[in-house]
Amino acid sequence: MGEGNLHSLEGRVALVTGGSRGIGRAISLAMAEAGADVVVNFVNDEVSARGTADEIRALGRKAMTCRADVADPDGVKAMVGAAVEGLGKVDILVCNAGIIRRDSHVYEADLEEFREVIENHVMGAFNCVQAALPVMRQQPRGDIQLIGSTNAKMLPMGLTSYNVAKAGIEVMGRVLSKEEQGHGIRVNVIAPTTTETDMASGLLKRYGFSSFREVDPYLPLGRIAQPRDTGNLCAFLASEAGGHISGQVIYVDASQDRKPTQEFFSSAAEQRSGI
Amino acid sequence: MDLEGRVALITGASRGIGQGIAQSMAEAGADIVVNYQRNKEGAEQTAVDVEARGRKALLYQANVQNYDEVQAMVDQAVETFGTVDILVNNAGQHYSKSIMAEDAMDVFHDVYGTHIAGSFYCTQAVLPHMKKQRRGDIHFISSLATQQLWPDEWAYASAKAWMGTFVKTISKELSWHGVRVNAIAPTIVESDMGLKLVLDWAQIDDPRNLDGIVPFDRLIQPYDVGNLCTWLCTDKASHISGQVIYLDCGIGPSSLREFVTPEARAQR
Repeated sequence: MGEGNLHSLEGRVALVTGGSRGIGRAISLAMAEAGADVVVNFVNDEVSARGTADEIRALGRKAMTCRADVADPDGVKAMVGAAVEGLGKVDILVCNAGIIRRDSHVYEADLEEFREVIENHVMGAFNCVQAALPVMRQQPRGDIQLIGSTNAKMLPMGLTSYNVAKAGIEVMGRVLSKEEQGHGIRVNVIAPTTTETDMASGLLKRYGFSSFREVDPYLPLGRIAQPRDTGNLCAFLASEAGGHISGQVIYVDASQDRKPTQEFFSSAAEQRSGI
Repeated sequence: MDLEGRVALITGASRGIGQGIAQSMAEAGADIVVNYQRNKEGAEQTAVDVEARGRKALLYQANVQNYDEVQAMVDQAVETFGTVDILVNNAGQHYSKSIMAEDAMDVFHDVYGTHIAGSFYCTQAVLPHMKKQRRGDIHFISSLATQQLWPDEWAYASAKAWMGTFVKTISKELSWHGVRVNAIAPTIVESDMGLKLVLDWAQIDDPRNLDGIVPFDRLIQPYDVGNLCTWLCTDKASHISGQVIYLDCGIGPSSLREFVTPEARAQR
């Protein structure tokens, strides 16, 4: 309904933090497939970032890679400057970069590790948003998407830093949507469950599986979440078809709600061995 | 097209949001069962809109509060189209009335009957078909009223809130059968029901005078709700279930009234 292709992102420029691998890569590709040019941010893995950029170019879109640590405000400002110079503007920002640190309860948690996780997610998103807003406010439309996590409602013990960081992201997104609504900027939080990435491969080993495909039948809706599930939603929300959705936290979790993914893996292992 | 070959049953499809959803889904390739209760003329218009997009429409008059009528409607849909792949529980009754009103009991039965019993009956009637084909999409049209919590909307808001809990519970079991269940909760939409309220607040006659004033520059249209409903049925959304998605430009519990009254407009 409406004029033209409602799902097109043609003429838009997306900056995706942590865009080299996993979910960030899938978001970058989903944006590019819908027609956007993409700035692929990375901090360590330049080879993968270039790989993502090459795939974007193969889709007929412009791409550039940009190294920056999101926790460093000056580095982030420089990155936004480079993006504007390279691709003309930034009117879609996806704050996806994230880290996770070892399990520990607050009682014995390491101060530096806690700080590092909060700095990376909360301050990282803050830095990127603050650097991008002056550019974005000049555009007829802007989209800010913060990648949350089901952890923010599951609240597993021992991952306090990550839980607090992702809950902070949710609140930031909801407040920001109100603050920027008058400037035509949509803000949403997209919160995936455990997704088939390098991060999740540990679960396979722990429960004695060699492939995610072996576990798929034991997961709701028949498979583990794919990076592309998150990417598709991001691209939809940035399009005309999703243009009146803002201030939302949308979980990409196949309705598993508060049930940890590892419980599905555990019961899959039990059922397989006939216990 | 994304919904090619699929069949959508939309309750209350004779006008407003239901009509917008029907148009959007037909545009994406679905055949449509156009349910209506009283407004035959509007339903016929919806059917014309569906057919203009090259899709088939089945007009069906049924009161969703009556399970026999609902079952007969689904039977007829299956006989005509072979199955029902998509159900949109959209039929609704809006009342704004004190809990102390003399006819509060009537309001209760009508609102709960339509939103709760009605959408439950429709869900019950289509589930065997979705289970058989191991795939289905069920949408509930909820409302921002569940956050605004206006006293006189006690029946409407609480019935719409029921949908959120219902969606989050049944989606877990149905995920093992390939059925996705979500709620879409819009703020006021520029349809006959919502528009009157907005125009009263704004004290104007032409809604176009609100362009550029309301959030994201225009009132939400029935087709905005349709676009979201349609997208959620596609393969691109295949891991999204059990969600309540507000379609409200992020205004949350505050009201469109805060944007449109003459005083608010004067302050801009």
